[in-house]
Amino acid sequence: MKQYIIRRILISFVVLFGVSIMLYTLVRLMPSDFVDLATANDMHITEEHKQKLRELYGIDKGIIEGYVSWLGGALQGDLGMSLYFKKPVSELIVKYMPVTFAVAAISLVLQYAIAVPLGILAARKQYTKTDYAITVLTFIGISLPIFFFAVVLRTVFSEWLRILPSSGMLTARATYNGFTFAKLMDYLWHLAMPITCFVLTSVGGILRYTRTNMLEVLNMDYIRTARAKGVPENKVIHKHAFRNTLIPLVTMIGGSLPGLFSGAAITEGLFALEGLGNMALTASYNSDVPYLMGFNMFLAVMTLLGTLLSDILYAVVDPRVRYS
Amino acid sequence: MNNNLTSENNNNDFLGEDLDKDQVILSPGQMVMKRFIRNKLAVVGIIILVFMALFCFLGPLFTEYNQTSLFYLVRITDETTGEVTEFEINGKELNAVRQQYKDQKPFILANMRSAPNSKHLLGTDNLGRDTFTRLMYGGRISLVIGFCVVIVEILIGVTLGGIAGYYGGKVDMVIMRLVEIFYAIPFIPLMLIISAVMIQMKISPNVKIYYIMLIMGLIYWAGVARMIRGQILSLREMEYMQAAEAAGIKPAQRIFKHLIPNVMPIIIIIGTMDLGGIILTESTMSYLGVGVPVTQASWGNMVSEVQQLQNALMLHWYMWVPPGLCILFTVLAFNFIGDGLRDAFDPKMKR
Repeated sequence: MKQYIIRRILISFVVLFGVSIMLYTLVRLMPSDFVDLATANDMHITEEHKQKLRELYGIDKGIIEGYVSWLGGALQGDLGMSLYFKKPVSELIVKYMPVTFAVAAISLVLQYAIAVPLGILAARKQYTKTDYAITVLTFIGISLPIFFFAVVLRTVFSEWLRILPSSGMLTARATYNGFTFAKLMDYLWHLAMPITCFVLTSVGGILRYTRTNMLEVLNMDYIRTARAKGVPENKVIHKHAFRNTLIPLVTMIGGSLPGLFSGAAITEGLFALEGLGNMALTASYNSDVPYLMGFNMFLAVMTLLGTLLSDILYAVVDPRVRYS
Repeated sequence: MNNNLTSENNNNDFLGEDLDKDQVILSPGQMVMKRFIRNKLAVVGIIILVFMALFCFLGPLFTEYNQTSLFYLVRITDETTGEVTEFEINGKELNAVRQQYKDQKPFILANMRSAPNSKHLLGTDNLGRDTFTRLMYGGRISLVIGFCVVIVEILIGVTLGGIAGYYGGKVDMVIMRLVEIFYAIPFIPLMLIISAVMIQMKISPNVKIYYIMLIMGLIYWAGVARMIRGQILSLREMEYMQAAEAAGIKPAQRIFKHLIPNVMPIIIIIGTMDLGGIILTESTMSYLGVGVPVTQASWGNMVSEVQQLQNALMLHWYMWVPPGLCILFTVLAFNFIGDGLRDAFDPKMKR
C-alpha cells in the first residue's frame, strides 16, 4: 500500500509537470507580455524600466528558460506576482481559499446528505411514481444551467420575497468584534443561495450513481438469501445492501473535490463572493495570466489529490482491494 | 437469438405454426429500438429535440427579423396640437424615416426591453433586438457547437483510446498519462486563460467560435479515450479477436472492423450525453463572456443580459427566462435520450 501511494505520488508529479508545461506555453503564446500590458497606461516608462520589470517577472528569457525558472520558483511556493492584484499569487491563494473551501465543504456534505437517501429510495421503489419523480428531478438538476438557476433564485428570494441578500459575503454596514455567532449567521445568510445553487445543480450525478449501484446490489444473490432468511427489509437495505453501495460512493467523494473548486469560478462570480473563483474571473477579464496560471495549477493539484484520495479510500472501504 | 429457435420449430408441425404466428423475429438493432421507444422519458427527449431543431433551423425562415436587427421607437410631437404619435421602426428604415420626418424633429430612441407584444413575441433586449428571433439563432449556435465538439472529441478520443487499449504497454502508458494531464486541467478556468489570450491576440469574433469548438473538443477527448480504452481492453481478450488474429487480419483492420463496431453503442451513448454537457458548458462560458462572442446571439449570452438589469429581473423576465428554459430543455432532452439509449443497449435490462 505504502509503495503504491509513493508510486502514485511520483506519477502525479509527472502529470503536474505536463500540466504546467501546457499552461506555461499557452500563457507565453500571448503577443504582448505582462509588462507591456501593465505599463500600457504609463507614459513615463522607459525601455530600460520595462526590461527590469521583465527580469523581475521572470519573462525576459525564452520559453524554455523561463519555464525552468518559473518551475524553480513554483517548487519553492513562489507562483509569481499577480498583475492585477499586485500581490504574490501564492499569498492570494492562501488568503482567499477559506471562503471557497467553506462553500465547497458545506455543499459537499449537503449533496451527499440529499443524494444518498433519495438514491436509495429511488432504487427501492424502482419503476414506481416515486422513482420517476426522483429521476426526472435528478435530470433537471443535471441539466440546469447554474447561472440561470442563480438568476431565478435571486429573482425569487431577493427581489420578490426579499428574504435573502442578492450578493456579497457580509451585511455591508454591520460590524462585528471578532468572530461571533452573529457574524457566522450573517455569513450563512449570505451563503444560503450560492450553496443551494451549487448543491442542486450537482446533486443529480451522485443521486443517479447511488441509484444505479443500489439497483445492482439489490439484484445480488446474497440479498435474496437475506430476504429468504427472513431478515427485516430495513435491515436488508441498510446493513446488507447499503454497505456495498458505499464503496463506489466513497470513491466519488475524492473525485468531486476538484469540481467543487473549479465550479466556484461560476458560483462565486454570480453571487460576488470573495473567493478564488471570483478572483479568477476578474483576472481573466484583466488578462492577469500569472494569477490564472497559479489558480489552474492549484486546481490541477486538487484534481490529482482527489483521484489519489479516492483510490486510497477505495482500498480502505473494500478490504478485497489490494494495491501492489 | 430467436432466429434459430423459430427455424427449428418450423419443421415441427404441431408446435411450429403456433409459435410462428406469435413470434416476431427482431434483429439486435430492432430490439434496441423497441426498448428505446418503450422508454417514455427518451421519447419525450426526442420530441423536445425535434421541436428545438425545427425552431432553430427552420424558424428563421419565417421571420424577416435578423439576430442583429435593432428596433427603434420614433416619437413625433405635433407642434400645433401637442399630439404625440409613437411608432416602431426597424433599424434598416432609420435613415429613411429620419429623412421623411425631418421637419417634425422626431425623437428617436432604441426600443429597449419592450414587453412582449404582437410584433415582438418575447419583447426586445437591452439593445432593442427581438428576443424571439435571437432565441432561434442562439439555438443554432448551441446545437452546431455541440455537434462539432462531439465529432472532434470522438474522433480524437476513439483513435487514441483505441490505440491505447489495443496496443497496451508503453503506448498505453504514454496516452493514459496524456489523458490524466487533460483531466487535471479544469475546463472553465482553462477557458478563462484561453479567452484572455484570445482577447490579447485580437482574434475576430467570427473566427472565435471555431477556436472554441476546436479547444473544447481537444479537451473533452480525454473522457472518451478513457472509456473506449477500458472497453477495448476487455474486448481484446474475446475469442473472436483471437480468431481474427489467427486469421492474419491486419491490426488496423482488426481495430476498425472488429473492435470499433463493438464499442459503437458506447460511442453513441457518450456522444449523446456529452452533447448535453457541451451545450451546458458553452452556455456557461457565453454567460461569463468567454464563449460565443457578443456579436452573435447565443442562449448563454442572452441570459447574461440580466447583468445589466440590476433590480428589474422580475419586470423583464421575458429577456432571460426563455433562453434559460431553452438551455434547460435541450440539455434535458439529450440526457433523457442518452439515458434511454444506455438502457436500451444494455442486454441485462429486462424491461
